Amino acid sequence: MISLGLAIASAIIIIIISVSQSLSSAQDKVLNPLQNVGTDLMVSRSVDQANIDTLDEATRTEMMSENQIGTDLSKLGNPGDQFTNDTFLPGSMLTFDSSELSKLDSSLVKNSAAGLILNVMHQEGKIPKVTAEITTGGEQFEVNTQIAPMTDAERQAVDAARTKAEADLKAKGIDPQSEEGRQYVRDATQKAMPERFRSSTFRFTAPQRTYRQDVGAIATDITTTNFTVAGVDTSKNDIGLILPDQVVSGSYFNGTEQVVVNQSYADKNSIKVGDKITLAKKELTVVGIIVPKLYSNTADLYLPLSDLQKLASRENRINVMLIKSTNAQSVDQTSEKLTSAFTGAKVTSSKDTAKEVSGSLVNAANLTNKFIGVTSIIVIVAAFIIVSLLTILSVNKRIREIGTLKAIGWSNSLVVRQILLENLILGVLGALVGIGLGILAIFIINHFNISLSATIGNTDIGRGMVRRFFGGEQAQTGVSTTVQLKVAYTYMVLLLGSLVAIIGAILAGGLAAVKSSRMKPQEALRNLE
Amino acid sequence: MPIIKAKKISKIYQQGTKTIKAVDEADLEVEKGEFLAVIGASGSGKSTLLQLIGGLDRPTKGEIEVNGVNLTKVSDRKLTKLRRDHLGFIFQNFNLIPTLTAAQNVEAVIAKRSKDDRKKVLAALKQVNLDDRADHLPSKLSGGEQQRVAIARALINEPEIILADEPTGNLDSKSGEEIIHFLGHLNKKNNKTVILISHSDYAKKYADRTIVIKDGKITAER
Repeated sequence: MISLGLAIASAIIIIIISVSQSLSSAQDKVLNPLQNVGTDLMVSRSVDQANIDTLDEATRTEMMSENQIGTDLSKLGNPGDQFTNDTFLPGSMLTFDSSELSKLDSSLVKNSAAGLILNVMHQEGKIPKVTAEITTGGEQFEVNTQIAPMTDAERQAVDAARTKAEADLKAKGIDPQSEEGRQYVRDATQKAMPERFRSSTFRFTAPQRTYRQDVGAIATDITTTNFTVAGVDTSKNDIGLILPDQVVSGSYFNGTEQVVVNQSYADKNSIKVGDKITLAKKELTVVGIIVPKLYSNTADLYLPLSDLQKLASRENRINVMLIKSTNAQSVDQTSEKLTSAFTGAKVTSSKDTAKEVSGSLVNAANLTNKFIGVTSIIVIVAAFIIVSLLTILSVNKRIREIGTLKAIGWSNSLVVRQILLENLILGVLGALVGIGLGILAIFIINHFNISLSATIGNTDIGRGMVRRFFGGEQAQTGVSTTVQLKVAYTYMVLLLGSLVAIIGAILAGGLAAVKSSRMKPQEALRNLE
Repeated sequence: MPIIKAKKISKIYQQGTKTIKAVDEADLEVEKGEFLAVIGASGSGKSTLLQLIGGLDRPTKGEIEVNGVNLTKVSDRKLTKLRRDHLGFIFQNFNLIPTLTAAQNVEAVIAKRSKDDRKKVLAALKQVNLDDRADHLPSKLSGGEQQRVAIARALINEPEIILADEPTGNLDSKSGEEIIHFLGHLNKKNNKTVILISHSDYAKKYADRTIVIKDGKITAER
């Protein structure tokens, strides 16, 4: 009985602690999504939505130019033609040259991979007919000017020039009335005229006019959808935005013009392995469906990095670096050094991504974390009380035995020692049974396949901004992931559980021993029947 | 020189408002080597008298001297030592420890441990003709055999005085006679002082003297 009580107590302790440890390890798995892709740190130049208004001018300019959308419909074809147009935008995750990777200090970084995550604004529909005709010209201008009349001196000078010219003609024997003579006289008098009579050029400015025409909403069926596409560093198999072992159906990249699709996106859009997806007028084959584990930075479509760079016209540009630190203990230190090495870089560690997680897993883990202490104490105290009662009960049952021992000359210390020893044996027995029960219970819990979910807030890589300007459906709000509760036990926990049983037994035995030492030997003679 | 000397001893219990005089001013002297039989009705106080003599309980009034030790004046520790070294108890219910074998039950009370314990135990069991049952648990022994183990246990420390409280009460008459015969043998051959509470007529055959207890008083002596 006593052993059983102790066994149950110790089993409960083992179960509680094991479950809670497993919960927190499951939590770690989700809370540390970076680890899932062999990464300690993520370097990006991402701009927080909240800080957009307070950016410095250079960054703002860069961001605006990176996210410029120029859809010149007239260049896409003739009105009425069907068109599709994909615009690639890094959103708030500004790009940088892939040569930055070489800046990584090999003493700090064990492994690294590049990535490019872009928003795609996909537009399709009919090109609309856009007309706005403006005709100008035909205006008439009337010019009135007053010219001052000639002064007497000026008139005399003209007369003198005429007289001189007529005299010259006479001398030359030319008739002033002839065509030639008349011309000569006109030229000479003209020369003698004051300047203002000689030329009359006028300058005028026509009043400025603005023609404004409201063309109204473009009547068309153009639809805009947003999704994200990521370029994956395919040179690494153990680090990257996605890893080959995360493929759930189909295969990983094994050639060109291939795309791997996020399962949630594939489900929503009924995409299967073997389907074709057209991206920036390039037809790509879906080779695999993947469940990406880097929950904080998932994309809908994954392409090899170089392919995406070409499609998006962003050769040699990347916007995320995944970094595996050389030493797990020095992640914080590495993080600091990276922050100083890349100006304006944002270094994200698992601690930062952890904050974004919610869901039943977190609730369960919080619950156990909150209550594990209290529960353990309650169980230990309850176990102790039960075991004490049981021990005292058994001591009461053994009144005659103990009385006899005392009557025939056993000293109190001998009786106490005997009872403690017996309880110790019971405790060890209880501990062994408790370990058995605990392991059995853990086995049963695992058998039921309890699953816990966690939702991870996705890093908004500027989708919000794109949406604000251009509309379109929300691509993804976050990733929900399910973690199977796999309860594991460690030797430390088993040891702790058995210690509870043994210490409980000794304490209870101590109480019983004190009680029995107070017992009088004549109890042995009492006829209890 | 009596080995047991009780002078006007009383044991008074307070049970609620009722005062119970279990032993009422009893005077008793037992000579060394005497076989004393005590008889009396149930509840007459004979067991309490035996407890007082055996140092299991202290009298409310009066003085008791056993083997030259005044029981009313010594500490519990000394009482324990006295019981261990000079007194041997035999109970109606045998009071063997059920988880220990016959030999272990006897061995458990050895006062001074030595390498020869096992030999001593076997010798004690041989005295009661149970050396072949040494490694049996009490539950595997008959009532008579269990009581003989209890006698061996009472004898292991070679006490001068044997106190037996109705040792035959739970036994059939044949086994009971065996036990009393054995106690008589111890008295005659080994010169042990024996105080035996028993209703058995058989006891009278061995007793040097018989006293009758009634309402805590010694009312008759034969």
